Amino acid sequence: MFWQQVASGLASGSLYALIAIGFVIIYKATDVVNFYQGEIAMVGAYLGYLMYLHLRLPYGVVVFITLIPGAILGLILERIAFRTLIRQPVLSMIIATLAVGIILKSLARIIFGPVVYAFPPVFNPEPLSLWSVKITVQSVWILITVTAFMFLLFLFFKFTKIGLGMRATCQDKETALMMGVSVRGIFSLTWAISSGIGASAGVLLAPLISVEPEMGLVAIKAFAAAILGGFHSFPGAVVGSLIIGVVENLAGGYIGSAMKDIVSFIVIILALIFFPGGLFGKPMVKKV
Amino acid sequence: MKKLFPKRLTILVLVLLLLLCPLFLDIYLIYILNLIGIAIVLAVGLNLVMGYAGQISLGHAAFYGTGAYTTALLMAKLSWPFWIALPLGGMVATTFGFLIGIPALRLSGPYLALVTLSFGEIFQLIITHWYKLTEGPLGLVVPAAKLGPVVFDKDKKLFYLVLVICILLIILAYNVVKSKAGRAFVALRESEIAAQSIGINLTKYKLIAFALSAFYGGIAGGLYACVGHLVDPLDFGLFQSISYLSMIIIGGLSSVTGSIIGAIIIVVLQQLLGRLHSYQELVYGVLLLLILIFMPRGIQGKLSGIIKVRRD
Repeated sequence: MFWQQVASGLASGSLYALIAIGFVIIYKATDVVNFYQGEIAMVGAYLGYLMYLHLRLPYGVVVFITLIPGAILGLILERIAFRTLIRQPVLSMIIATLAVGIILKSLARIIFGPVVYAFPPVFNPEPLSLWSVKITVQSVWILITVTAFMFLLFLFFKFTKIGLGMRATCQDKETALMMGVSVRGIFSLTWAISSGIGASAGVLLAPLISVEPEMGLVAIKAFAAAILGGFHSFPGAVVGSLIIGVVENLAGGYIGSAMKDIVSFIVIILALIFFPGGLFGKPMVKKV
Repeated sequence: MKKLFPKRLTILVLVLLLLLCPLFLDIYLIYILNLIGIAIVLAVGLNLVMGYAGQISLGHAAFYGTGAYTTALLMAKLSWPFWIALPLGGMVATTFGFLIGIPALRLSGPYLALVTLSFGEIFQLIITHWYKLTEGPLGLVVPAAKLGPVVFDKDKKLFYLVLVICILLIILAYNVVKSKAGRAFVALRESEIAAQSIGINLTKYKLIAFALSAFYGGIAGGLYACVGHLVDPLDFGLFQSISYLSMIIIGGLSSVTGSIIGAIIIVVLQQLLGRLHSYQELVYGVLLLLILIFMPRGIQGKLSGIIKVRRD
């Protein structure tokens, strides 16, 4: 049924949105595409799994606590790997994030094995029924959290001094430095925030997708969603994610599950051909 | 500054050694050399579009796969001879290269990365699911290549085939790099606006860059079909595209020599760690990271500081 597909699509879309937001945070401040965003969610998921199942901490607490190890990991990575690459062209940093992602994924596989862990359902698995459409409680929470994050981050980047500093750094590092922006501090903060949120996102995702080293692959769709929305816009990332979720589900429902991914990618390519800056993108004018 | 290794002599000696290889190396090593030759062709092609022209191509496995499947299908299902199937594989790949070049005209950075990645994913999904055409995950078996009276069924014979094609394509690449097109690529990478202002036709050269690198990928793929005798959708996905990327980053962007070095290293690494899959990835990632931090211009960049190896 059409609306059910749409509702499920919104639910999957919100999963992507959680990770997509992480991409945008880093891109907005550093012009870098963070290819380990999926893997940090994986780290968060494993940590969350351990805390929830073995330490028996309440779920809400787990979601918040994971922000800390996530942020710390981000800070450490920034310090060892990315800081030395500040002076390099952006491609180096992007590949570095890719390398970190690969390292995290293989470490997870070595430590935990390729076993797929099922995160026990947190909320009542019986879906809620709204107007003949079913949606799980977990999905509703994810949608709420994502929207909350979206607003907070949007306000942060637009109105706070640090947020402005981040945007300035992205636009022109040298000038930002001259204006008194602590570029090093901004970098550290950016990676910390993005990794922290990423790890938390992993905990939110875990009950819906099982916990395993490859779970970071969902980040490919999230990446696509963020770009679709215009890579430097939080509302864009969320909207893009929801669109992809819905398109995917409709394709899966009406055409067939094999075509699901193919259709999503085709839609992405078409969208970018017609909107080269993403749906909410403003073309950035680069001076020669 | 005295050159440490006179270039032409070194190359001559290397080529002679290579020609004599099959006489004293065992079959497994020859097989690895074949894989290295194929990887070199791939890496050189990728470097043309990413290193020189500065365009991001995250779906390169699709070109490789197109060449591999086209050649495989023509040889297996239509029994076409190898000396038609291989170039056709290259040409079909080139066509796809043009197609991908079209969105590239308006996109750059992460946007282009996504489009190329999407193409790559779509390609893999199609070859996996289109059973009727490609036998899907079962893989497609490729009969031995024949060139006149010679049947390339043994790795040693294939070695010469791969060697010749590899050398020819390397020479081609060196020539392209030094030609007007090569200079246009670099201009394109450094600043599109400035390049346009001196009359460089962006459209033409962007499309050429993608098409050319796709051609290389396609030929490499066709060769792989002959060397491996089997094509399988799992070999042509994102993981592979990323490993080609690693080849040129580790070896050195915008350097044909760098591509060669990178290709050798990655293939050897893959073979050494082949059985320990998770450790393979770990070493991969760590190596990549270390190279990025300590040798940002790749191994070739580092070497050209030490020995006077000419940088293109």
